[in-house]
Amino acid sequence: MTKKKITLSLILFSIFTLFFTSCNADASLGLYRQISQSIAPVGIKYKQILGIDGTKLYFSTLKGIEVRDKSTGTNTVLISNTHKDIIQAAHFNTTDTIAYIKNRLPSTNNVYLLNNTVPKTPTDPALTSVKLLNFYPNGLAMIQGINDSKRQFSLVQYDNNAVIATFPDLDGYSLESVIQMTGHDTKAVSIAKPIIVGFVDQSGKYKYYFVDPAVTQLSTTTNIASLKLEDLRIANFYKNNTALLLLTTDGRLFYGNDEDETSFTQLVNASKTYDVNAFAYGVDDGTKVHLITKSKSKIDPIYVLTVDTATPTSASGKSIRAGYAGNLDSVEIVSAYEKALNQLLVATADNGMFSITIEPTKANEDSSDNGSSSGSEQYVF
Amino acid sequence: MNKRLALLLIVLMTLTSVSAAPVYDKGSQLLSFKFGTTVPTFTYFFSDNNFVVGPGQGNTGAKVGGYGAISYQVFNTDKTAVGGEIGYNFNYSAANILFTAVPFYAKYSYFPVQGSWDIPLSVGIGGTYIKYNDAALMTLYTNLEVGVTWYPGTNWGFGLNTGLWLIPEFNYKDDLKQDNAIGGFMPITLSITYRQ
Repeated sequence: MTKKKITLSLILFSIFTLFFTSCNADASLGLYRQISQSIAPVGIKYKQILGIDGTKLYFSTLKGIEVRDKSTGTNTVLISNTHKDIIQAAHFNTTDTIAYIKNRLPSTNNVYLLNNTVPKTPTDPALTSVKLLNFYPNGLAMIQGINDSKRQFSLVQYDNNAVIATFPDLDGYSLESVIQMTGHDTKAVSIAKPIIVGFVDQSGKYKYYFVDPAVTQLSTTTNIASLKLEDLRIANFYKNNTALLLLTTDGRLFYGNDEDETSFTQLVNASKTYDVNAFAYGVDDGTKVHLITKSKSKIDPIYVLTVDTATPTSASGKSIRAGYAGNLDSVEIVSAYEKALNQLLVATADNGMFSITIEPTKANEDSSDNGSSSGSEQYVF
Repeated sequence: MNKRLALLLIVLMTLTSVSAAPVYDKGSQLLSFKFGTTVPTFTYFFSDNNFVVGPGQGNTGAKVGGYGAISYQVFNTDKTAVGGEIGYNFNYSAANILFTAVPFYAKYSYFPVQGSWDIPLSVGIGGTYIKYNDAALMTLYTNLEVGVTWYPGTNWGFGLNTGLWLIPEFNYKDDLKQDNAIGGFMPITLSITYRQ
């Protein structure tokens, strides 16, 4: 009887120990905290901010292409999505107003225009068997074709077929990503606003090209012998005069002087997961660069990775819930638009749009001193 | 008002008279199926002494959800029974993300009123697996419950039950300790019980 009681006590003790030591290991925040901070959808589902024209803000939503009038504060649908024709990507400019592609790719290479019934067909004269792969908010189209019997990809301007960059000799590779720095999706490619284009082969090896618009293939070497950039997916990047920071989908941050870096240095492994083209806005306070990121988890708070560019050997990370990040805790950021330096419009999938202002020297402080945020849908532009 | 009081007294007297003769004895068994709803009642965060009450955004953040369970009890005296229950609970958050809990616990019930009408008072203790978004853990579970079950015949009964669940969350990761909390839920369930 005593033996039975001891056995029973041990079993019960083990069970209770299990409960008390059961670890919420992968959580970004406590379970009840996450629930208590959840925010109800506001009814508008943003996809992409397209641009500002005086008193009008253009953006795409689940409904189609919409414009916001600053004076009345009302939204008007310019082009509606229909069951068969869903707008996949769009670009705003003052000539055509809206250029867009539909979900019928790749059966058509058309870029449709709001103000013209005759669509454009982006192409590169050097290519045959041209296929339109994607279209971007800066008006560039990625096309694939054959040049000298080999697969080539070209980035061309949709309206005049000006070839911005070419990626030749890529048999066996397919397009992985076109990554535009957060806040600059709609800007033309330039030295100040570069992009990174990634390709992947069937074995999962990546090739990355830095485009400004000169094309430079990034080195695949890192300071960790067993770790190659060709095995990692780049989620986003930041480039200024002193640093090229690469953020990978598995939460690693790499540093290089610039696109000619021969070996990138891993600064930190943040143990977070990011989508390709994740929100990662770079703020330069003069001595440090703060990469303000939002991970794949909707309820993960804003996470700032700070790098001292004078000694770029490591990076610190901090979760930010106050100030500019106060309303971005429980949202899925889908697009950001830089209105001015350190001032953004941030569009979310379910929780509306916000305008935020970041104080550069306090970008990694979790206090109201780090900047400010508007309420949902109370953004200003 | 007087009519209502009179009616209540008649009901109580009826129930008391029914309870005068116990229908259960040691070895009697109850098998119940429950289904109904759970109301997020409160969440208390220990570190910042924050007590939020009620469902919805700005409160507990969870919406009214659903619960289904099966329980089995055996009488150890003519008025008390021991057994267990396992169930599945869900609530959506304000952000429309699913919270789930799978409680499994030992249950002790006292039947002060029994017969055509049973009024069981129960206490339960055990564990539950809870999950929300990227957070998941096994934790403790306890509850208090009261119910009314009507037996139109000998074996089958139909009941209405409510009570309070308490589900703590203890995190051992340093950066999550500030989120340690206890959650309270109020179940409101209908039940079908077979007794013998």
